[in-house]
Amino acid sequence: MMSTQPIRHFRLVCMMLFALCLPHASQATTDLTVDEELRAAPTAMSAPASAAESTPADAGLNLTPSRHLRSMPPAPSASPVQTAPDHPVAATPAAGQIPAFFFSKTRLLRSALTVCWLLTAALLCLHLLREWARVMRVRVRRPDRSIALEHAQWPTVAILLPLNGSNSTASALLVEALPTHNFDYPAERIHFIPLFDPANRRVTQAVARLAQACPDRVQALPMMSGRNTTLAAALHAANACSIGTALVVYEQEGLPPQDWLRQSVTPLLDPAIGAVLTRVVPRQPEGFVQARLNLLADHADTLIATQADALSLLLCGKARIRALRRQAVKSLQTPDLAQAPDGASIVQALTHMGWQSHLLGEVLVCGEHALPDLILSPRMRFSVAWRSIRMASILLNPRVTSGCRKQVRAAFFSAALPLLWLLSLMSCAALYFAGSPLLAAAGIALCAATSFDPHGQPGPAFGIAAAARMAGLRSEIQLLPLTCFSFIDRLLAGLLTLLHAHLEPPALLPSRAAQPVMPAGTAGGPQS
Amino acid sequence: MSHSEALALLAGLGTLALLFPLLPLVRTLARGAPTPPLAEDTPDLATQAATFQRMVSEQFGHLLHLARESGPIRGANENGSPFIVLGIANHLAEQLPPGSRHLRSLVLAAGHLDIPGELICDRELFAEGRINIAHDALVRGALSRRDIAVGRYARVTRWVRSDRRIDVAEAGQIRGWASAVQEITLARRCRFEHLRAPRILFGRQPETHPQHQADSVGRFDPPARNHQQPGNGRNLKIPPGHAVKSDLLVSGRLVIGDNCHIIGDLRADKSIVIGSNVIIEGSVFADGPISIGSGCAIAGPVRSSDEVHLGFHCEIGTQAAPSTLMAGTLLISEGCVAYGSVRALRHGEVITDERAAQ
Repeated sequence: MMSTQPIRHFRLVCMMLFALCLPHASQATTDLTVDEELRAAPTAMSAPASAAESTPADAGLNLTPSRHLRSMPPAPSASPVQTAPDHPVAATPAAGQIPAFFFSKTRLLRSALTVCWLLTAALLCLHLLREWARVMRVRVRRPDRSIALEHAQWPTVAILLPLNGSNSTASALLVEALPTHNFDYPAERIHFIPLFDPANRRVTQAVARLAQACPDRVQALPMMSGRNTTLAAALHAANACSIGTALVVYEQEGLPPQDWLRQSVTPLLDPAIGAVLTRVVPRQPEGFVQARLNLLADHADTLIATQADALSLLLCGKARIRALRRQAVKSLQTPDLAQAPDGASIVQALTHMGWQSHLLGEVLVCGEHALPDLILSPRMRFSVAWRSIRMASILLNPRVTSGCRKQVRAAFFSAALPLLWLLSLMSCAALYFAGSPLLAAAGIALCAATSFDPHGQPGPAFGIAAAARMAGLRSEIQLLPLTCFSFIDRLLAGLLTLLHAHLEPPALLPSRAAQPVMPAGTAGGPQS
Repeated sequence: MSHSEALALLAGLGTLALLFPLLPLVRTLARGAPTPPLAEDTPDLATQAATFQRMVSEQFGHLLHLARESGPIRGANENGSPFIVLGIANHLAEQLPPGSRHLRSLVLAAGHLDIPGELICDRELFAEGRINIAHDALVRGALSRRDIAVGRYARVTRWVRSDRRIDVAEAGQIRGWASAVQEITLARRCRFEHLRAPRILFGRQPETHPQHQADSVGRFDPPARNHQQPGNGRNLKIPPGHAVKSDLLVSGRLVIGDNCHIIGDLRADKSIVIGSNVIIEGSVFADGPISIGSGCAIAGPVRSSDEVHLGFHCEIGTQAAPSTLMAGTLLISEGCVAYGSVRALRHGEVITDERAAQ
């Protein structure tokens, strides 16, 4: 028995040194290890016969019921100086000062992290209430689907076909089938902009045949595939070379249904609508499941449709967006002259794709060299997100019109919240390592409840990558889910330990209560 | 915070995070088979008419040919649904028992088809000649290669399709979808829902429609200003006799004076009031009601989710460029002409002079 005491002291000192070397090391892990040591102690060695056998070094290893769970954060009133003597290592004169400094630093860090998390959590909760109330109101009171007009002066639309996918056969088949596809739209008012890699010979030949079949209606857009060839860049180039008043982004390899174009263009005929974002599940000749998906797509928005199955259709009235930008410039530069319509409700739909933030970001830094009608990619950038956050001061400016305030609010919520979400998540991770697993768990749950999908809607799962994309970060952030999985694993392990510790004490405490449990420096007790 | 409270908080937030996003899905699935409103049903009615036309040509072609020579044929198909095929010189009244008010058979005629008054037809009608639906009759659907005449107080409940013209007498009703290749004419007090024809005439037509003189010079005096601002930023009023070459988009109320000429689209979040003899070379969209005075000509589509009141002798669209008139409630005065399609989502009626004056 006496031979085990130096080993235990040595292990405790080593663990404390290890904790000092790793500032992010978890105090809870250390304490739980000590607890396990103490739980293992009665089984490894025989129970002490009397209080005389207890050495002064054992005085700090108390197992009162209130101290059994060391993972609990200490009471706020307790200062580091007061708790230092109670700590097991503090009794040793050599390490007396280091743990006090360490725990005061940890406590300060934990307090700062807690304050940071509380601030971000308050904003996230506000967003949660606001967004879910809005989504629920929209979905419960969903208006009828707009009825397609039968006769109108249909505008010319340009369909952008990104053919940079890996399946060149499907892309070539799609291009070859387009000239004979029966759209419910005047054929002379449909222009095609195939975006293809000129190195792909089969697709290039298919595009050439398409240009022969539809003369004057094809604007080929050869772009070498690479890191910079993204849909955002293609959107910009297609917007520049298209002659139509609306741009359709068709990112799917299958043939589109025949009755979607008129239905989708109909809302665009309304002069107040600048862009239409619809998601169509392509119809198949047979299959009840697909019909059910169609119904769900109508009633439940994009809840079921996935990126692989759905057809993303983005119609952007370019002239409307230009007018909108001019209006926004006017509102910001001379807010007194801003007149109706402010277009705030129109631009709300653009917000989910990042258009709005980019729009306002451009407006704020609109230089002399910038063309007034320049429309950039809807992909958000990190700098734009920061600009949108800085624009939050406009919310409190009473001289700004309500419409401009609405736009800024939309931009703020679309740009700042993903950053806040990431900050909250990082605070939770830091809180976990700082020794507050319960707060970290609550924060993780909150982050799960307020995660975002690429459209800005709250999603049911962890949306780290989506939020990072919205915040302007790039593909490096996709490694974060792996961290997330390891974090969940640690979280579950901590919870299991917590539950185990919560259930075991009634059986353990009576036996341990018979042992010398008095704190150091006190007299009396069962032994006395 | 104790352990149990923290666990409860964690469990609650986790449950909220997992289940709350699924509520719309649960609601959607709990709906079962959706019952779309009438607006969603209407395209199916056009499909029903096309299906019926195809069925007649495929399944009853030889029976119609036989009935031309041998007389009426009665029978039932494999589903047990009865049908009557009439020859050229046969009348439906001869095939009905005396005093009968209900007809459950599919009726096909090689010549003209006359539906007696106050008869209720549960099945569709087809005639290669003209179809005359007498007063107070009720017909489910009618298809003809010639004209179709709907008598006073007669009703068509689903669809009617003619390869020539459709004439609806006073107080007749066409529920559902009506389509004609040439023209649809509705007398006053008629009710309708969805009409589609190159030319749709409402009520008694004037001898000559007013000829609009286009003003080529665009001029517009801004409205009265308050503190150097153009109005209050919500409502806009164009004084009479002006020509505006621009889109007019307001978040409030838009008023167009008499004899104005607008080259552009109109859009108002509330209501639009258009005076008399106004020419609009564009579309008219409003979330609130739209009131159009007499003698107006609108080239583009007119759409409102509330109500559209059309004055006398108005024209929607042109013969060369058909347009769409769509609203929840459509009240159209006599003498109006629409080219293209007219759709009333809730109620459509050709109103009389007295009601229009009110």
